[in-house]
Amino acid sequence: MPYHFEKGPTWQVFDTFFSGADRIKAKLFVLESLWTEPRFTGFVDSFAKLPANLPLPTAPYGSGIITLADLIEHANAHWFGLPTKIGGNPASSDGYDEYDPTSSTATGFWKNWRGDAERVVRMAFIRAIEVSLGLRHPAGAYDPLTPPAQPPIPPPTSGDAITHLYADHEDPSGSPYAPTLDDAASQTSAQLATRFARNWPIEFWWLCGPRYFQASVTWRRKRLPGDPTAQNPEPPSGQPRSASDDSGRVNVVFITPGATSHVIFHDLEHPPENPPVGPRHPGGAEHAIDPARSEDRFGSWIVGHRFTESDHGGSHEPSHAGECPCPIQQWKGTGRVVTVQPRYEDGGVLLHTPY
Amino acid sequence: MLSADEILDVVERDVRLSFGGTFPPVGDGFRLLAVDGIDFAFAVRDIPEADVSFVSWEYQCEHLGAMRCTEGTDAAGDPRLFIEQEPEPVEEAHDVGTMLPPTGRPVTIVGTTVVLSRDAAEVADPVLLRFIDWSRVFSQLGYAWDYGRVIA
Repeated sequence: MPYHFEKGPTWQVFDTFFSGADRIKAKLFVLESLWTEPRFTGFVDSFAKLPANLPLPTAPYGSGIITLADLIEHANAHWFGLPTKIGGNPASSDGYDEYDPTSSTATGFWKNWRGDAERVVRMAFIRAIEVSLGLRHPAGAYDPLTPPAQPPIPPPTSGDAITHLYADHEDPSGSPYAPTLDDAASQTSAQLATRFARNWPIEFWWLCGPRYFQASVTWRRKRLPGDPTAQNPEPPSGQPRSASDDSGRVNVVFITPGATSHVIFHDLEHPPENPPVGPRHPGGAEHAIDPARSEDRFGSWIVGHRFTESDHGGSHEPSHAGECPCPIQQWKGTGRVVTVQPRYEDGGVLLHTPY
Repeated sequence: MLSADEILDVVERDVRLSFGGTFPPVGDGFRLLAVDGIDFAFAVRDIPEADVSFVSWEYQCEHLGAMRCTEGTDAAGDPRLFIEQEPEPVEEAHDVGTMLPPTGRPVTIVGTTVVLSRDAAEVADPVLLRFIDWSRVFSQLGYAWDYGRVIA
């Protein structure tokens, strides 16, 4: 991760989950798991219930993460601060210790930050999936990790959590929906799509280096008739809901502290240093300085001063009584303004995808 | 050569002048640092004839004024920014030049001052080098130094 902002192979995996042709199944199984499994990564186990036609993400190339099992271990150990993998199936969530809020050490591999990163990530995923499907977040829903102070909606005694939590879902248009996981595995994506108001793709980005650990969930829906600012309204609503609904898009950006193992370039014109781990992914963006073309379907550029440097000054410079030098610690950008297209393995994008 | 009392006096005067406008003392405020029975003023008391002395101190105060910088010249004649002794009241939190608008929080500033009195000029107007735990100060104010990513 030589830049602050990236998608790269890791987040491309989640893009594939939640933007692909069978994304509605992936969303439903992950959403159910997020409400019921003690670990965020527990959703991997639910994939065993999926029909074989759901394309699991291809192994993410580069960044030292080769398989889905590597990705799960990376999430648990580095992102969530669950450092000990005692044993068991490496693709399973079993065997990891829980985050200890009483510890004074930094969580996972984050620099100078501790907190319940897993819970933040879990809620960001829940919120993003709900938005993408047009579901209203259930007030007072139980939290599988930490019970809230108020009496929560109890977990289901039978059946699935999606049916339980979203049973009173009411679509603004008045159309009846029946959100459920009940028979999702036996249904086609087209059939499942009729149960939800929409099925927007979700994409993920990562901004690394701020002091806090947060996530942003944003979305954009195409204009509809009746929207206050609709000057060029879309065709009337009431169209059949589609498994490949592209009438909107959800964006999730994880905003995190710096990571211990990552170093970024102070020079935006620094060439890529390390060869990618594993085979190059066909269609991945190549490194470019001041790129010209934007004809590809996806793109990711970083614009900034060429150089970023730390400017430090203490109070130790010699002076006389009453003249205490100001402490200074700031970053400064110098040099020309440059536009960089990161290589896919360095946080860039796939220029084209099947979905 | 300064006497021990003169050394202690210039260090205390420097702390009060430098910080009193932004961080008024709580009670007397200034005292020599002593932790677990260790008196950090030992250098002053044990080596009174030294022309280089070290005084560790702490200053209990409240952050009631804007911390602002003003341009000046240091002892070597180089331009430098100094903490304003009597900062103007802050009209808005983001007034130009304001490093830290007042937070109202109690603060303990800890530092060690090196006092140079190597010749007649320095005896008349000692040169001071202050090593202050600014990280601790800003932490108490709710701010943080930027311990972000390593830049390669």
